[in-house]
Amino acid sequence: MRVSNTAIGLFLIIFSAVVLWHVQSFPSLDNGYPGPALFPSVLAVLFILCGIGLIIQGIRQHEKLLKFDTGTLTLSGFLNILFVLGAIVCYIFLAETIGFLIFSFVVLVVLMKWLKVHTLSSIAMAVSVTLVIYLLFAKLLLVPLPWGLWGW
Amino acid sequence: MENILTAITLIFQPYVIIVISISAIYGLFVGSIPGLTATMATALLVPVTFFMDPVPALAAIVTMEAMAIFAGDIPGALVRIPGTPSSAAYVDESYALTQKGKAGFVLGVDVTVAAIGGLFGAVILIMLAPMLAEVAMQFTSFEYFWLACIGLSCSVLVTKGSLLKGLISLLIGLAMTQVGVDITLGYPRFTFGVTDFLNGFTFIPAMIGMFGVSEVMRNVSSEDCAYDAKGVQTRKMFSGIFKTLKRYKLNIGRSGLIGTFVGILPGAGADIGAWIAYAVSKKFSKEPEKYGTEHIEGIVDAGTANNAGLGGAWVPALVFGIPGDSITAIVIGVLFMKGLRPGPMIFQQTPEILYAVYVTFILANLLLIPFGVMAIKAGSQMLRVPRNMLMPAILMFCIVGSFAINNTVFDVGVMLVCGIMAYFMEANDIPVAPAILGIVLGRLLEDSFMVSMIKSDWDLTVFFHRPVSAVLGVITVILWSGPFIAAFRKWRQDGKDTDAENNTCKPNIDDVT
Repeated sequence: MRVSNTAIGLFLIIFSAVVLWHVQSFPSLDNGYPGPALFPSVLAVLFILCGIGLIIQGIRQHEKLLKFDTGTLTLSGFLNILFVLGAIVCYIFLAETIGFLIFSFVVLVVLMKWLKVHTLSSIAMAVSVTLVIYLLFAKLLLVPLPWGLWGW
Repeated sequence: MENILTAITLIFQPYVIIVISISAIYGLFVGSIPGLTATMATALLVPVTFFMDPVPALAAIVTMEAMAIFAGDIPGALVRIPGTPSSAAYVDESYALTQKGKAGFVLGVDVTVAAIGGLFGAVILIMLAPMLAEVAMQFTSFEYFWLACIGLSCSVLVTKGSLLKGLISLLIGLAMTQVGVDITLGYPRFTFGVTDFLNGFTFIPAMIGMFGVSEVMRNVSSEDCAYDAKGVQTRKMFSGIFKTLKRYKLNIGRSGLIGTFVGILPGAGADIGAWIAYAVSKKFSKEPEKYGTEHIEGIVDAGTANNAGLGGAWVPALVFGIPGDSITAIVIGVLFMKGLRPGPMIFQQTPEILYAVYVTFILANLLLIPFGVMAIKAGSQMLRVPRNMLMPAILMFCIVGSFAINNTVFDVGVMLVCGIMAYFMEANDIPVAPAILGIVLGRLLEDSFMVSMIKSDWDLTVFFHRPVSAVLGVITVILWSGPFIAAFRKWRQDGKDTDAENNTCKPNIDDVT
């Protein structure tokens, strides 16, 4: 998924401007020398220079201002990505409630089914991956995984 | 000597040997699957090693990377797709030889020169690191500031493609280190009241996001193609190898040196080393016209260089805490989290860890031959594992790995954001490696600058007062001005060219004046 250099440049400039405005609220050192705000400001200025550079490049290459090119990405590829990201979001919100073992098994089966893996293979893979992670992290390395309301 | 014996006893314990063997198999598997890189393997291995002692943890990473970089050659020879970027330089040759029925021979040469190259890099690491550490003992915050500058500048200068985008990547990395409590006043910057942000972005989840999640996203976004590879006849694979090695012994020495020194350069790793060694090999070869066809010379060169680069990358990492490639960047980040600050002090305080790294490097490269032969035998089967089954499994490891470090879902969120960001960066030709160096060195850069400034009451010239500091400063300035000089020259050259085109019969004004 590609956007134009000009768009990236504009984004960098706007982002840096916001940062420069925000760091005004940072305190300075006692003797008036710059303190916590110094490095963020320097970085923001450098970002702005890079942004200008990108915009100049974009204009030279006669790019459209807001090119949005999906490249080789197909619709199904895009949906696959959304599924992957969705799985991570689900973990953030649900894992503590439903527990790792159920979560891992269900998410793995659903993801593999979506990616058109054979049902039996996906169940076998989901069970083994869940078990390996459980044994490795919970049993061998003694890392607490989220156990959920039912304790598993 | 005493340290070496201690290190050997630390390594040759059942637990450590088991860890080494498992990570060897892991490295071979990840390396031989196209789309999974050695850096990604490190990012996924780190959450596991995080809970181990330093010696087995470092041994696991060193072994894994040596195996993975070799294993990248296997799919290159079998299906003409490099398993890791480091094997990309010579896939055409490898595949052409396979087409002639010489797959066993190519991979036999690959595994042998990989082991030789790896040992070469290890020997240079062992000799060079203590010497540099002597020098580094005298470094203060001024020198560390310049070292960080040089490291960061190198990482931008060695990027393929646009320097501007390399610089943007570096700035993104540096900007990420700005989140959290600042060193001068302890002021919480960009935390927006979120307590999880006080310590900044958590390093390991960020790495897993940038190398794990983004790779998974890229892999699932394209159609799953099954690689159809024939098995390799391994029975007589080492016959004729000795002759080849003898014939190209000078190439091996040269590429070992090139690989190691490219590895030492911050930001340039095994892949760039392999490309440079390949280009040099072609330039000095007696038969340059044969490159790209079934000719083994380029494979010998580049195959030596990429494994030699691994040892090289550990030199600046151990001595200065400046990573030589993305893998050592992750290692440094993790050592920091464990309270082990890489730098000359390691050589005095915990030399056994250092010697353990040395011993593992030697051991891993010796193990490379038997393990490598096993991987070559299993190569065609490994390539048949469908990616659509692997990717969800890798994703689950990413999630659990990020969660495990601090037991918070906040870190899983960090991983998610970093993954999406890295995916967009790659899609728009912004390289990821400079950002990693930025993340690792950002704090060092800012802290050493602020500490130096407060020490000297804001006198900027102190950065040039001490002789070593002044030399490092001048090197930095030269590095920075390089691209500008090049751009200026090109601009003048272009101007002259257009002048010449416009008035071919008039004398050039520049020449007259």
